[in-house]
Amino acid sequence: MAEMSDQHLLDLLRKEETRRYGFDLLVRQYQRRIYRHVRHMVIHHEDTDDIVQNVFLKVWNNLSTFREDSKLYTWIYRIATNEALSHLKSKRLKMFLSFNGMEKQMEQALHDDNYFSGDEIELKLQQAILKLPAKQRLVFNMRYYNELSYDEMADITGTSAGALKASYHFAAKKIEEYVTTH
Amino acid sequence: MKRIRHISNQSDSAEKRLPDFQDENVPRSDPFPAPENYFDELPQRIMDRISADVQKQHENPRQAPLLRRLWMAAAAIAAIAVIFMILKPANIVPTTNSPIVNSTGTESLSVDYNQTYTDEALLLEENEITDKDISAINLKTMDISLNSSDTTSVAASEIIKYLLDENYDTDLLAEL
Repeated sequence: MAEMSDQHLLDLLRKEETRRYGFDLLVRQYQRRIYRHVRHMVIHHEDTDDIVQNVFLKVWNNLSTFREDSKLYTWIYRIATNEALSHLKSKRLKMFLSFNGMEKQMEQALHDDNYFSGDEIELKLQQAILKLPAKQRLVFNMRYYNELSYDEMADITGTSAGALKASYHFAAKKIEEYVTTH
Repeated sequence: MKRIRHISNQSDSAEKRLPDFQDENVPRSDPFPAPENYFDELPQRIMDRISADVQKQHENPRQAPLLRRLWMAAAAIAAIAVIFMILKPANIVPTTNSPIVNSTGTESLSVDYNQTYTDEALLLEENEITDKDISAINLKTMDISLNSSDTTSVAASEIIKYLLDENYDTDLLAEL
């Protein structure tokens, strides 16, 4: 499917009679990227599915508040990022888990998940990524898997591009260390 | 080709098996595929949830935000008014236990002390002394005696002015 410009999508979304059609196109355009972004954060497919649906519902309900000073997809990414981080936080609080407890549970999910398709080295890489603090993990995943530029990441996270570069550098170093020593 | 360098030779050093995080040209592999047909069905599922939400809102409409804000403002004003009414009589010197007597000396109203301060304040207002009443008072007949330790004389008109300014007890003014 050819990618539509933000302007075209927004034009469709603003008119009552084309709003649903425009929204269907928007979901189809961004669903894979948002799914991938969230899935790398929360690991479980079922949790990801819930979050992705919530993200698009929020997009639908808040379209009127979207200011066009950022791109549509960075706005959606921002919503997805907030949803994924708050899901992890509430899950940790609900289960009275420490950071290590949470990490172990997610690591177990890698083994249990029917939809994890990685080989041995990929599994090790994911284990290393799970050892990172949530925000460093977010930066690493956005850069490595979602291939976002630092400027786009800065727009999404509200952090400077320089800080994000440093964060990615530290994350990559920690992962390399883990993979070589395990 | 996978981004993870590996795997043909298990004797490769660990470094050689590491992913190259900086190489922009190597395609990323995604170890988290979605179930089959997931992305074909997701848009419809989301639209169904939106429709369900809209239906729910029609069945159980929420108060319009503006109306709700007006209600909250009205409630706040009412609360402030009640607090003001309760605190206002604190500035008024309590009346004596005797019934309120009008200028003719006959008993006109009896104060029920179980009433709220608000009622008491209203009763006091009804018995307010007018300027005409004040001018009718014969100042010459007044004898203000002060404490023995304080011999400063005070003019009767100043005392009346003071009492009026302070919204003082009507009984005392009637006696004057």
